Amino acid sequence: MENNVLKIAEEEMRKYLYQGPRFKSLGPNSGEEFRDDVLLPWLKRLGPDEKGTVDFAETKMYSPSFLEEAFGGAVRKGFGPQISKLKFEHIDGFYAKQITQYINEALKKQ
Amino acid sequence: MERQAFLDKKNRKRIERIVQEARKRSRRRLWRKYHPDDQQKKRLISEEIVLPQDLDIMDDDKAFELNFALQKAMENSTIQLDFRNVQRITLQAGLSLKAFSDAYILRYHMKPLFRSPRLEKIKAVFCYLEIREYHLNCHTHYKDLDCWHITSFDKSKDEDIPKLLSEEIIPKCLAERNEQENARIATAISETLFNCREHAYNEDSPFQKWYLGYGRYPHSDMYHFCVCDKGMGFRGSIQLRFKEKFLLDDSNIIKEAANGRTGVREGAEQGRGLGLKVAIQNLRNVGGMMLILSGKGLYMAGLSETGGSLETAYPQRRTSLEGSLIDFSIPTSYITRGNQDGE
Repeated sequence: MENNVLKIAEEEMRKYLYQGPRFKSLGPNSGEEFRDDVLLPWLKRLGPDEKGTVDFAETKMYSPSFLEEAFGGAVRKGFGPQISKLKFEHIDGFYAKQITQYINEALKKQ
Repeated sequence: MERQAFLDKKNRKRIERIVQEARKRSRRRLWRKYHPDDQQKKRLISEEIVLPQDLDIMDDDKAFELNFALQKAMENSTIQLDFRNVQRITLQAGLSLKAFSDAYILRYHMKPLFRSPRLEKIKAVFCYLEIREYHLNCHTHYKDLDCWHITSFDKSKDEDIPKLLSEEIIPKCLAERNEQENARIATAISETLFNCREHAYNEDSPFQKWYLGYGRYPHSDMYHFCVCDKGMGFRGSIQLRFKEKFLLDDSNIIKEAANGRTGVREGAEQGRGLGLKVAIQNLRNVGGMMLILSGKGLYMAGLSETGGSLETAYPQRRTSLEGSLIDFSIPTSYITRGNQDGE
């Protein structure tokens, strides 16, 4: 994995190709689990001025709750500046707009 | 001597057979003592409710009759439901029956008292729904019931709903549609199923199942997916968090949820109320329509013939539905027109 590209299709993250529910308590592969186990540790490793990219190639199913909890939730956890600089690749345009909307709404509420 | 030996052997065999039969009878008597069969159950029948020809949840009058029968039977285990006259059953009514049957078994530890339908086709529906088992004529093929199927979910089990939908259910049912459209349909349905897990039941509720049914009616160019639960319904779930919304009628409560106006307040560990809204957007993108029934409310959202957004909160119904029922109608062929709702 390139340091600044988070590839969902990579072996240890393949389970997120089928995005699950919002919270861990609601089922496997949740947005909360993805945020805490994958997204936030990766953001912490990124340099402060580095622009990260999340690559959704091969994703079979998107879940709005998953995306909101992962990206909106990361903003609520204090990663707003890094999240707002992220780029999203190989994603259905509808969901790319949804993610941006979730991030902006979470930023507004901060 | 040989003849005597032959007779002895024959007698011995006869005696063995008689003993075996006596044992069988005795076992059967014991079995009946602890597992009353239909004959014995009939002796306990206090009342019989005859169900109408047409079992339909969407039609208010027909739903009223079905609901009345199911409620009565749930209150009193000696009431028998008579299905002999039933000639048609919709997918939504079938799911309600299935939920009723499971809740009944949980409560009374036995199957509900049914008088079997006369029509083989309705018997086939009962078999599909796993409500009853019948030995059906295997040569009979019902085209319209061909893809009827039902999946049940339980709050205590950690099922991978998205994977199940994407890999098994959707490809089986919507084989001829394109992958991107199918992914959107799967998203809309899985979001609704997650909502059921999150909001339909309290932790202490004894019955915690919800169902996904799918099928197609004859001469129809629509597929139907239907999600049904027997939980607290939209009113129960939303009022629990928004006390001020208790003045709204059931249809408008559903409308609030469908428009994403039921997000929780800051700091609460609950969803943000966007699931249903996005599910509707996804359905519109594939030319579909969603009908939501909960309590006495009925709400419809979808795509109009001209391609615009359509949403209606209908006046209150006479029938109050326990839990909620969400019906997705998806055209068999539709070319994605891009993102609706200005998305």
